[in-house]
Amino acid sequence: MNYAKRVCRVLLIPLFWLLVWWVAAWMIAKPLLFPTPWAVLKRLTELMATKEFYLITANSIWNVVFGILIAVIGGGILSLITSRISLLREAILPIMTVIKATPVASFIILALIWMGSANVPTFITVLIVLPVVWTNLDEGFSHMDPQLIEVAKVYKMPAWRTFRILTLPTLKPYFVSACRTSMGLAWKAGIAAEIIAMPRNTIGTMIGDAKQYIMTEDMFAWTLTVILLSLVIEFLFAWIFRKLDSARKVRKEA
Amino acid sequence: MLTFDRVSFSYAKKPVLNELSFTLSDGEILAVMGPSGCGKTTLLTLAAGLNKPKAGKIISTFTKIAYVFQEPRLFPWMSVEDNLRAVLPEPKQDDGRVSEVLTLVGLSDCAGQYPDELSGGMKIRASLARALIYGGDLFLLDEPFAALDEALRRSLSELLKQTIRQSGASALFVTHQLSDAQIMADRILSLPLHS
Repeated sequence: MNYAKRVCRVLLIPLFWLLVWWVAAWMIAKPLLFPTPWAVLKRLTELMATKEFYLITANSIWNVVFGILIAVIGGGILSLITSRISLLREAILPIMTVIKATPVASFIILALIWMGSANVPTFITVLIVLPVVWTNLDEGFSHMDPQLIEVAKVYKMPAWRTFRILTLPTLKPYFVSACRTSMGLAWKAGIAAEIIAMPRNTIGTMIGDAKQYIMTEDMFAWTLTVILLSLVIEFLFAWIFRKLDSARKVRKEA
Repeated sequence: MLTFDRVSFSYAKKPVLNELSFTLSDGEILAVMGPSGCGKTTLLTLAAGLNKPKAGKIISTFTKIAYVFQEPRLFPWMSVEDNLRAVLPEPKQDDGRVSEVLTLVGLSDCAGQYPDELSGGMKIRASLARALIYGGDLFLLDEPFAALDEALRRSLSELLKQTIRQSGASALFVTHQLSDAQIMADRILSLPLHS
C-alpha cells in the first residue's frame, strides 16, 4: 500500500466513525443521554485548560503504569521460577485461572475492604495484568527449542549467556504479545477500580462523579482521555521495542 | 578415553542399544556405522551426557566436547559469526579466530548472514565451524557431511581429520558413507539393529 493510500485510510476510518457517532447523536437528539462529538470535544478542551486536568491525568497514569510495571516484573520473575519448578507451576496454574475468571468488580470491592482506596487501582491493575504476563511467558518457556537447549548444554554456555542468547529471544514475541494485551486490560481494570474506589483526583473518580450528576459530556470527555492515554502508551511501548530492535541491527551492521 | 561398558538404552520401551561395549582411546577417530535406527545418534547423545544409559556404565575422561549435530542447530536470531562466538569463553575476544575458521570452511563471505539466509550445506559448515572454534578433546560428529557435495565432502573431511589430529583430540564419527569412514577414521564400529 502506498503512502497516500495509507494516510487516507488512517484519516478516513476515524472520520467515518466520528460521522456515525454524530448521526447517532443527531437521531437520538438528547444531549444528556448521548452528546455529539463536537460537544464532547468542546468539553475536553475546557477540561484541558484547567490545571486539575493534568493532576488528575497524571494520577491515573501513575496508578495504571506503575501497576503494569509491577505486574510485568513480577510476572516475568514468577514465570522464570515456575519454568524451573514444575510443582510450583502446577500449584500456581489454578490460582491464575481463578484470577482470570473472577469479575474485576469482586476484586475491587475486596481490595477496598483490605486497603485504602488510593492503592486499589494499582493493586487491581497488577492483579489483572500479572496473570496475562505469566501465562504468555509460561507459554514462551514451554516453546523453548530443546535442540538449542542441548547445544547450550554441550558447549557449556554459562547460565547468563544461555539466558541472553536463547531464553530472551525465545520469550520476546510472547512478552510483546503479553504487553500488548495487558495495556488495554490495565486501563480498563485500573479506571474501573478508580470508579468504584473513588480515590482523590483520578480519572475514574471524575467519571464516577459525572455519572452521579448525569454530566454525560464530562463522562465522554474523560473516557476519551483514557482511550487517548491508552493509545499513546501503547504507541510508546511499540516505539521502544522498534528502537531496541533497530539499535541491535545497527550494532550488528557496525 | 571413553568406555561404554554393556550400555543399554531405549526410548519408551523401544530398545535402541543393547549391552554395547567399546573403548575410544585418546587421539583415536572411531567411525560409527550401521543401518538407520540402530542407535548411532543415541550413542553420541550418551557420549555427550545428553542422555543417561538405562543400564551399563559410561566412563569418560573427556571434559570438553564439540558436537556437530545431524541438524545444524544454529541460533536463528544470531549471525553466523555470533553463533561461533557464542561458544567461546570470551565471545568478544576471538583474536581473529572466527574469521580464520570461517575461511577454513569456506564461509568467510557469510559471517554477517543469518542461518535462514544460508543453504543447507552452508548451515552444516557453520555448525562444523562452531565445533572447530570450540575445540575440545572429544569431537562428536553426526553425519556432518551428509548434505554436502562430493568435492566439499572430501575437503572438509580432510580438514576435520587434520584439525582433530593436530589437537590430539578423539572423535566419534557417525556416517553412512564407507568412503568417509576410510578417510577419517582409525577404526570402524559397526552397529547392528538393536546392538
